[in-house]
Amino acid sequence: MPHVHKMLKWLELAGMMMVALIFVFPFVWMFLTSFKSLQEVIQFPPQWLPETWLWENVVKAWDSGPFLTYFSNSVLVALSILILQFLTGVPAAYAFARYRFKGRNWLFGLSLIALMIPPQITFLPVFLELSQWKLINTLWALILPYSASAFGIFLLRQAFMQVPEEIVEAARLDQASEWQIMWNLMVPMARPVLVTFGLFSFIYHWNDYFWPLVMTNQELVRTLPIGIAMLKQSEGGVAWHIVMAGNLILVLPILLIFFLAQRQIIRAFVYSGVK
Amino acid sequence: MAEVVLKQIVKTFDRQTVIQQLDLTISNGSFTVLVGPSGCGKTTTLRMIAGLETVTEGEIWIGDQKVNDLPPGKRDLAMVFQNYALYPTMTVKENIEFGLKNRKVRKEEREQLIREIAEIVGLSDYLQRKPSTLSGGQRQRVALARAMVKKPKVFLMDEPLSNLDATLRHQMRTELIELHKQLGATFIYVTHDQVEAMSMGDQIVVMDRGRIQQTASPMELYQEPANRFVARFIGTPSMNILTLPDLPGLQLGIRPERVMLIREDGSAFSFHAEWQRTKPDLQRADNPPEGISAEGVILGREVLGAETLYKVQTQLGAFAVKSHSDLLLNQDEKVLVRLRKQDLYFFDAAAGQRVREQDAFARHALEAILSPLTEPAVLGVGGR
Ligand SMILES: Nc1ncnc2c1ncn2[C@@H]1O[C@H](COP(=O)(O)OP(=O)(O)OP(=O)(O)O)[C@@H](O)[C@H]1O
Ligand SMILES: [Mg+2]
Repeated sequence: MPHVHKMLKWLELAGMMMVALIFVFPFVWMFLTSFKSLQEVIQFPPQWLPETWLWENVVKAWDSGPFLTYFSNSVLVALSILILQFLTGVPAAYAFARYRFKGRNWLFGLSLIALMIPPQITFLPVFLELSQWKLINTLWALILPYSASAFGIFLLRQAFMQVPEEIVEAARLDQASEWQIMWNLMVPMARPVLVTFGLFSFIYHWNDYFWPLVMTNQELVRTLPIGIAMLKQSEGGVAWHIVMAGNLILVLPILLIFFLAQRQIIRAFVYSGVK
Repeated sequence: MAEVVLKQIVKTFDRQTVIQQLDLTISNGSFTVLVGPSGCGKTTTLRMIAGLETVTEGEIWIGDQKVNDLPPGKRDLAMVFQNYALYPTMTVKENIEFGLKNRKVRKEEREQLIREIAEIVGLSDYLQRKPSTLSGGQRQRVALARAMVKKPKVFLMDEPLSNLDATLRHQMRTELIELHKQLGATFIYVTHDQVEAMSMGDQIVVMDRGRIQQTASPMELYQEPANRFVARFIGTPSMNILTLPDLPGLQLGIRPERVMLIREDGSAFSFHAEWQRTKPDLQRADNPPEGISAEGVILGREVLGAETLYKVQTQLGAFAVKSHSDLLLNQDEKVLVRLRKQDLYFFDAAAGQRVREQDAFARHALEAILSPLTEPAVLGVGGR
């Protein structure tokens, strides 16, 4: 019997390794490609490691357009969206979770429906409206439409509903205002959900290609994904090694966030298990 | 001061009335216990006093102020919840401090107060810990400290000890009684445990189905229950309620610990201390006291150590008897049963109201069942 157990353990481990490999492989390939010469990239059979590591590919990618602008635009847009979604989501979720008012369920249902409609369907009316406000080709066009997140409201509402009513009542007896209860009690308690949602939202908007593509056509207000996509349009075939180097620039900040916040993230999830 | 008065309180949840015309005066500095079976409306009553629940009808007064429309934070009271309701993301110190901060108490003063309170409840070494790292008893103390630090006029507690183990519960009970003496504040305490109610309260409010059944001191509640519900609720095992053909429209109540069982060989059992005092009377042949004599047989027994519970079948019916004697009666053993007149309770069979002896109805009934109690031979041997 212990033999069988051991076998199963090994199988399980092997399975997990496989899945991890499938996930990691494209990233590794991207990383390696970034430092190859074009020759090595397109040769067949493919070669694993670059002959010489061409670190300058990254510099080339960075220099082939106003990448500093793209980069700071991306940071600005993703962070602004995150902050706005947080500021609008917390009160909305708190109200949905804790107050009884007329039309509550109806309104909540409406915001859930918003969750199911992809931006490809709504972009046209939003575009028209924004152009009326003369906001096309500004960062506002990238930020404002996302200033509230139905998904965030949904997640936060679930988290707030988990908080025992007595804790809120104890705070009321302690003369806390609704505002304080919301920001000083509920928000810290919902930290795991906030971290999860924050990561999700940031990554989604950091990587978002469609919306910035539609809303901007000037370099000054473009974001990184657009800039990198445009690397493909260089003269004389696609310079894949440069494109991959651009992608490296795109994913690096996110990897960095994961790396730096790793302990925070894991702690946040561990906390959620403890009542 | 901080007298709490409820006037004609009605509470309705979605058309279901859970509190009906409740009148209650809780005098300043008293330790009042609300007790009753699950769902009788204790928590609801407490929450209405706290302002966490609105009243449907009626008035609540704290001191000389009508508080119906006052928010919870402004009522100068503190509440200890059953599951403590500590703020999980704050340290013990921050938990205690939160209410003070909201009242704009200055920092030095806050520190001073927290230090004092932590000392009293024995939490000084735990101030920087999070509630999740504390034991149940320690959390309980944090909850108490958080309530005490505000120095409220009224303390509300909703089954604060029910999550603790028996030893700790006993210890905290004593500590709460001490605390009440020290603070001199009004305590309103909810429990469904009648033993806890009896041991802690100086005024006990027995509730059932949203109505107050009786408000009295522990001793009065035990000796003079106002109705069948209170009589059965107070005391373990509960009072035996017998329906006799000789007593139409009435029911006879007998406390298990007040029944004397006598073995056929004459040695007495279940000798309640009260019987000792009547002993000389019993032995007087000329004017014997009255009571009920019956013959019975032991149907079953439960040995609990300090006491033994018997189930006895007599011509009155089957009922429970609690004995404090170390000698044991056996199953199927024949016994003599004796009941003193002053230990008999009568209730209206339909309404459950207590029918007093002065009542002509009851006097008539008594005559039907009473006979002189004389057992000199037996009682010579008796004792415990
Ligand atoms: N928010 C509510 N909505 C509807 N009904 C309620 C609500 N709160 C309490 N009730 C009802 O009111 C009645 C009294 O409840 P309450 O909580 O006061 O009982 P309790 O005496 O505290 O019982 P327990 O000993 O079980 O805590 C119950 O029948 C309960 O179902
Ligand atoms: Mg309750």
